Amino acid sequence: MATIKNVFFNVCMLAFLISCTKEDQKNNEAKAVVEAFLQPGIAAQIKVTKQIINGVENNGSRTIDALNVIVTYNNTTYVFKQNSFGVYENTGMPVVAGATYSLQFVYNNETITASTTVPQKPVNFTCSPGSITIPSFSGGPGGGIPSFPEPLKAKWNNTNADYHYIAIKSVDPAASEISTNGRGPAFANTPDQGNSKEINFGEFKYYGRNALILYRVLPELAALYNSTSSNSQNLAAVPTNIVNGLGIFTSVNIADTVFIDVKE
Amino acid sequence: MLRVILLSVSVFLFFCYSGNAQQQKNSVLTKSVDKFFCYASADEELDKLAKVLNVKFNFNRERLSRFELTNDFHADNLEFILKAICRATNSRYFIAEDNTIYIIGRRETYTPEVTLALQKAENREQIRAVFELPQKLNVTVAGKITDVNNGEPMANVTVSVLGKSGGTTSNVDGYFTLFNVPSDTAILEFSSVGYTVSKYFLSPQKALDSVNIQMLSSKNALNEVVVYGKKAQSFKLNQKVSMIKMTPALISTLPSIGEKDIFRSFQLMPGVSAANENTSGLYVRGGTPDQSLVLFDGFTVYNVEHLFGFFSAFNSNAIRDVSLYKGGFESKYGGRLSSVVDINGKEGNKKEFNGGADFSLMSVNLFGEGPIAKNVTGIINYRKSFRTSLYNKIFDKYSGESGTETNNNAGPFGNSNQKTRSFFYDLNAKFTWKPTTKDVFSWSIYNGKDNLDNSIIPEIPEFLRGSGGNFGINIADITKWGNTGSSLKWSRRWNKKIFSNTLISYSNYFSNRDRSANITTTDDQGKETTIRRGTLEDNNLKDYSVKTDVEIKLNKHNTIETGYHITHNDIKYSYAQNDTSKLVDRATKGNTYTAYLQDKISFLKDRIQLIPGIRATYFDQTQKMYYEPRLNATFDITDNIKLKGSAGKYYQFAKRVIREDILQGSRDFWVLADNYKLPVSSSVQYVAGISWENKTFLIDVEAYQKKLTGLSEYSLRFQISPGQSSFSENFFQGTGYARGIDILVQKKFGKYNGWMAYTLGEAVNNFEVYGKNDFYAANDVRHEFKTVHMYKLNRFDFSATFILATGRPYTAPSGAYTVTLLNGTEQNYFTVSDKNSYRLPSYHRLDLGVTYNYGEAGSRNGTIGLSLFNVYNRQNIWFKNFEISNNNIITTDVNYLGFTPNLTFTYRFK
Repeated sequence: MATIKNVFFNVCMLAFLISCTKEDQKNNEAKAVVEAFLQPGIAAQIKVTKQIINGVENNGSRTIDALNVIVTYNNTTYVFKQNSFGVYENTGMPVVAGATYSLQFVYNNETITASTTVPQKPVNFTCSPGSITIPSFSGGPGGGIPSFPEPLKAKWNNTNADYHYIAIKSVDPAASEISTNGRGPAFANTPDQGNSKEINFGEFKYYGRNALILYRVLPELAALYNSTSSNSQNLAAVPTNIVNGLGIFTSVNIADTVFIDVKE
Repeated sequence: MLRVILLSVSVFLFFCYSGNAQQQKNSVLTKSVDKFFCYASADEELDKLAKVLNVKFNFNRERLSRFELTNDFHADNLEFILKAICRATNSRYFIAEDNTIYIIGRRETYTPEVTLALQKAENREQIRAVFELPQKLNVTVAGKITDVNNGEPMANVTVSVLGKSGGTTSNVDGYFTLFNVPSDTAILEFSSVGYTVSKYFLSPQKALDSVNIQMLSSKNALNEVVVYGKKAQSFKLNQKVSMIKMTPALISTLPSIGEKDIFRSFQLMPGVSAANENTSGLYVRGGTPDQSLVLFDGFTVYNVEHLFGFFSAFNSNAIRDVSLYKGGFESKYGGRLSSVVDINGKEGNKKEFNGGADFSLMSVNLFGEGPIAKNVTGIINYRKSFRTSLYNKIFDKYSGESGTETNNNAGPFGNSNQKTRSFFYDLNAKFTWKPTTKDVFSWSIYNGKDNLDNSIIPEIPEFLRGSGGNFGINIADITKWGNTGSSLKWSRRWNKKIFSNTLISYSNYFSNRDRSANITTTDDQGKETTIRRGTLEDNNLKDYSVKTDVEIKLNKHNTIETGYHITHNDIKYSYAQNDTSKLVDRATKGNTYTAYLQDKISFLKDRIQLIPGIRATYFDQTQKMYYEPRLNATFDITDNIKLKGSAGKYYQFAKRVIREDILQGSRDFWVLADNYKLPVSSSVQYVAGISWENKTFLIDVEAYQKKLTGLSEYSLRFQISPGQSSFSENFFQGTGYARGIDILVQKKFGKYNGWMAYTLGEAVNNFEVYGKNDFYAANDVRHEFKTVHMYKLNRFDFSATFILATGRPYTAPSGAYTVTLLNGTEQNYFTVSDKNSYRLPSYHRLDLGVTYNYGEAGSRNGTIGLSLFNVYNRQNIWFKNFEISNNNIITTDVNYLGFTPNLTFTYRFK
């Protein structure tokens, strides 16, 4: 009788350990993290890195090498190769508005997939006035008051309430940095569904010629901007459109770039 | 003839003498007292009585010291008092020749002195029979119960015939009707939490339909050097199923941090979670605070928190009594899933003016009360916080800000002054007019507000100021919330059997948050431009209600309660990340029309009481009827053992939704159900319990289960679905259940009293958006043990509370990763374990308190208190913070308050 009991107990314990081991193993395996923002006119790039695992040493490079990354578009499969930065790239694949692209690769014996449909190009993007004068803040005592400019008003068509995001990039290599250096009252710029935005002087980092880039983005990207939890009271799963993986495989489309001259 | 004349003269003189003596003795018995409270042993009370009435007693001190008296006398004569004392001590009395009143036991062996006096007494008839013969049998007694000190009516007082089970309770205005009292010489017993038990002797000479009972607060008694209040309970639990009644008076002896708080005291009861230092809201039996209906003088209060929840919004000095229904509440309450907190405000002293002040290390609390005009009383309470190191400690801990004044480097703008301004206040006022003995009108007002201003106003360097124009940057960080409520109530006692309450009320809750930058520039031409960016949140709720409750006592075994409630809700919520786009902008109006009917039936000699009821509500937002059948039952198996149970359905139409905000802290807001994205919530509850109670101890066990549907959450974190136009629809639906057992062991009376409470509980939710599996709710606590000990030593009250609870569940990161966003910034993201699959370490804390009572009741008096919070400085974890550093996840614990002392001082004119 005692033997039967022991056998039963051991079987139970074994079953328990097996189930635990499998689960633990799965939890401790780093998943692939995908970063891809397909954009018409830009060579498609896909970055794949390893997830950081809590409770284990995560030293060294996070890049996952030697993957067979493919993207299918219009029934054609495009193979992506790693470039010198470890990023997977295919310069021959056209990125077309309205088209759907499907990603696939295998990592750790799991097939990772994702897809995205490129949004249409935003139109009628304007920004006025075309220049803004930001006074230098490096002056000493005795200087006069700088006359602060009104904010710029950017507008675009958005009949479908799509998400848009404006990025500002300096395109003048010789430009000097504005001494506010982003420490002014600039707030996190997040995608929203409006059709206009006021751009205040504090959002510019460099004098000279700056490009205002209006991105039309997809909801999966907008959601990422609102998912920066960092404490146990509200930690929850970050949305991802990667099956069996993490990160984002999305697409954007930009309006015709508007340039703003930032003057001193 | 002469003999005849002499005999006649002798007889005449004898009768003259006898009559004179009789008159003298009668004159002793007719002496009366205005007020006389007997709350000590019979011998002590007779000593007091002898002094007051200037009479002489002779009694067996050893025998009478064994009898404790609990009687109140008002304008009663000595004869009446003697009869009462004799009845209570099984004695008789007679008046000797020298007017000494002898009190003798019925089976006592008399001393020679007593025997002689008895022999000298004119005849045996002088020994008056103290047991009056009843003139009526099976009578109905009605009357009103008030507090002897201030004339406040007393609700929920238990009224019974001494030695018999069953009875009744007084209604909200202190009126009671007791049927089937055996005779007009029976003794009635009145008991209420915080008051000494009172007895009333019926008499054929006294009216039975206008009995006025005045009860003595045990707090007053406790302030006396002699401990009279041997029969006062600090709370009463066993009156109705899952109901606890408390008065603020006795809570003052418990350790407190800053404020005497009735909600914090409820958290020491079984079934109400205490392991939340940062919320005074009630987590009752696995429910959340918004699932508790909080009524203050009849109007609904939607937010009950001051200072980030560390204190409740209710000033204890304004509260007469509070009843908490942990579940299974009756049909007259509705609109919430879990529990009810019914608070009655004080009406004000109707006898004389009284005032006082309480000071703690963080607030001052003033009140004044008294008669204003004929039949009109009023009371005003005002409390306001002030900044001290204790306030700052709590503020800094829970606001997530550090320091009250900091200098930040604001880049080109030089230094900035970040002056944190924060305060809370509340104001209670109530006016009561009693134009007739049957009508009471009362007007109650509440206004409370919290204001936190953490704005930054940069100091503009001199060189930037100059001729022509100017500019200013104001980075606002303002959080405000508060309530305003008012009710106008008319109570009428139509006759002994019918009582009604009609109430119109208004309640407003607002919560604003403004974390934005206002940049104002003025150029050389004087043109001003303002830009506003940031987070703007606004929640405004209005509640207009009218209701009538009617109570009809058909007979001893049957009381019908019925009524209607009509509520109009107007709820607005908007959430914007800048002034041009609103993520959420909801404005909903809705009406609920409710009628209810319940019948309180008792049978089997009142041992079984059933309260079946039905509540029906029409909600115009969904255009549907909602029916809530309910049943409450109690069964007194013996005088000590009671079985109890309840079952019922509950709906909630206005609900609070948590909006997760990772960067700036989660916020909650009220919305009205729409049956589209926000369903009407519902719960089905079952409660079963048993209790054993004698005069000193109570053991109570209740098991509960509730199933919840239509729960809602809001989050921006989830990708909106295809076709969905905006984040304003990001509400998620879920279900849940809670179950558990509450156990209480209480020593109710004595110099040493207190209780131990244990809850075994489980609260589980299921939201499809988080996955298919159930997960533990954030407020799930598996084991919670609390123990409270109070000891009175002369003028000192010592108290100790200890709490031990299982840690709360939380979600931990299983991993992390980084994504480079469109503007080139690298953003960290965490991948997570199953929701709430980890537990924080156990929560435990010991608090100690000592209160010194100075002065005497009725004249200047008060308390000086010292509280020691978290005596052994336990580092209880509030939450964990996670960050990524060098490809590794670093975890930091954020703790609750450590050891914190507090001093309080109270002063009363009377």
